[in-house]
Amino acid sequence: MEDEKGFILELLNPKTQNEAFRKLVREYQRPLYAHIRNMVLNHDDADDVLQNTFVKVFQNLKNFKGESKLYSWMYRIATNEAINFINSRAKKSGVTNEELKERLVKNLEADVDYDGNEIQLKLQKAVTTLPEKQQQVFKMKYFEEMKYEEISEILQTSVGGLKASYFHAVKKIEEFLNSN
Amino acid sequence: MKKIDLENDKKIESGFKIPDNYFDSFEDRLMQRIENEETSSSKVISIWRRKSVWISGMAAALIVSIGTWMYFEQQKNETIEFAQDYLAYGNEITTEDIAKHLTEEDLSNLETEINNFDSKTETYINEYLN
Repeated sequence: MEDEKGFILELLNPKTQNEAFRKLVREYQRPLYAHIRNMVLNHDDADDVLQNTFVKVFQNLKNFKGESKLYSWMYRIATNEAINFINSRAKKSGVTNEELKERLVKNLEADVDYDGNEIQLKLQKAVTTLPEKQQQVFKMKYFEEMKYEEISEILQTSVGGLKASYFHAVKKIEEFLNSN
Repeated sequence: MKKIDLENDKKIESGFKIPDNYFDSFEDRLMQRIENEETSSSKVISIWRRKSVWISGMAAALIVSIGTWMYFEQQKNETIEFAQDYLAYGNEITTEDIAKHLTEEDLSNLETEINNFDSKTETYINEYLN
């Protein structure tokens, strides 16, 4: 977003806030939706989490200190909202996060909003076998095609650490796909 | 079968479908929700404010009641303490002070009683006190 400081001032000014926020939503709804959907897998859940994310963004605009970029701040909120969603869903169902994710992937087979073929479904299954951090990095790099620098700002991890995580993730997924 | 190589093969897409027109209505739905939440949070504040007036009133009444009760308790204690101190340390009561509270009849009766010591008491006084 060009002239981010000017845009942030528009977001904070009560007179221009509404229009500026609508502009923010239009610009980020698709990438944030994709980010959340990759984590929660189901469309209705992604819709809920996306709404919660923007509501939080709106409510916390006054606390945004501008120390990080606006987009990375929003991605962090979206990531946290999706993680909280998975945690509370797992707790309610009395299962672990890993078990819940396996269940969510299994549900994709009958999901009207999923039209992945066999290899695509297998890839989703393979991802759930990874440790949490590697899942996160793999999804952001492979599916969302983000740069390491962007992921680094969002997850607040070094680029070197992210490259190592992605390398291990790819190896494990290839092993899974080639052996199953 | 050819081995899968994620880095060099064609990208495998996630396979997620988004319902038609989802993003056409998302912005308006979201703004509606934010508006609703703002309204309900201001309602919550007004109910809380009304409640807080009640709570402040009740707290004030309670403080006044406790204060009044403590004041009277203290007064009562002071009266008792005063009486106790007076009895314990009040050595300035003169015969005249006592006499003021007695009638003529009381005084004459008292005089008679004092003068009518029995013989045993008289002997005792004579033997031990003289």
